[in-house]
Amino acid sequence: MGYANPNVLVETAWVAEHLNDPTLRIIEVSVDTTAYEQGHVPGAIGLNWKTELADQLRRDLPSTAQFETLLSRAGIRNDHTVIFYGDNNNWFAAWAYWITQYYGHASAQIMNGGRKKWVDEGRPLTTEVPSYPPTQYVAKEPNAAIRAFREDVLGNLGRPDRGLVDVRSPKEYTGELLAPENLPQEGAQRGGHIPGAANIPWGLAVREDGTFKSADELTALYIGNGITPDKEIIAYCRIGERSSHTWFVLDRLLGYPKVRNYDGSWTEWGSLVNVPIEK
Amino acid sequence: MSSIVTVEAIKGLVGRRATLRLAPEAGSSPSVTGRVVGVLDALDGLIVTLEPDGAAPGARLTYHYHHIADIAPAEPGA
Repeated sequence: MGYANPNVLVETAWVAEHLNDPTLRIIEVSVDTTAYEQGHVPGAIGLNWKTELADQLRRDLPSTAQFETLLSRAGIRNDHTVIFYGDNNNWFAAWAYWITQYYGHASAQIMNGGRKKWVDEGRPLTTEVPSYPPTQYVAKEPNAAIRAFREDVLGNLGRPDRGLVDVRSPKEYTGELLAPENLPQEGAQRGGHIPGAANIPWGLAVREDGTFKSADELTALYIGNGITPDKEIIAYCRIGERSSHTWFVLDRLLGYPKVRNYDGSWTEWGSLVNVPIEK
Repeated sequence: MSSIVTVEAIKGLVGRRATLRLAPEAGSSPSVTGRVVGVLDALDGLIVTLEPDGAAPGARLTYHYHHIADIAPAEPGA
């Protein structure tokens, strides 16, 4: 069995051979926002997840107008194929991919293995920042079918036809930690998980080199934990980026028909008044 | 879940056979022995990939290190 949508992944070797392809825009989105300046794939654009892929006033995704301005300024046209990669196994590359799908970009891919695989293979990096002519990017209507809000999660609690997957580390799931262990322990008032959520850490979906596991392995992983394609699935983590990675696996690689990312995630749920929490 | 296994201890076993004692939450057998193929280091902890003894060629098991209660080198052929 192969991936449901194999065209959403691209290998590092292919990218290396297409660095000057005018139909592509390669985009780095790393957790470490200084990584791009230290060296990036030649020709790649750098986007900052903190300042560019989020509204700077409300806690929200960039608005349609902000997204259009961002992509237009970066020189991305609607007919470009955008290829995302980043550090930490594409956490925020997957986030950026999910946002582009929220706004209906036609052709988007993730570079399998991300920045680390590119570097490990000894491929070139540059500090030269490319300059592409500005465009007039036009976003589509937001695709509400791939995004979940807290009301959606509340409405799903206890329903056998719905599945919740908590993709954080086991100690975040149990409430021993409020955030990844290598980050400040902040962002939520309480620890634990949403009742009924299965804990399938995002990292179980990848091999030791960071590339995605085969479709058979992924299917066994999720079905074995009750996350089956007949259910409506909501994935969450702490702030929505790791769950974008799992959304990508379930929706794009495995072709589950109804998968949403709850980008409010634990920093919202763990701070809400009067919602159930399990430990 | 109070793992005392350190990242360094696991990384030191990459390429070697080891026995992992697993927390019940791992959803696996209580222990597994095999070659530690590699580790993936992320901000939220280590992912450990193991080639279990007796499995089909290429078969892999993957664990988050929070689920590893103990890890020790396995004797050759044990």
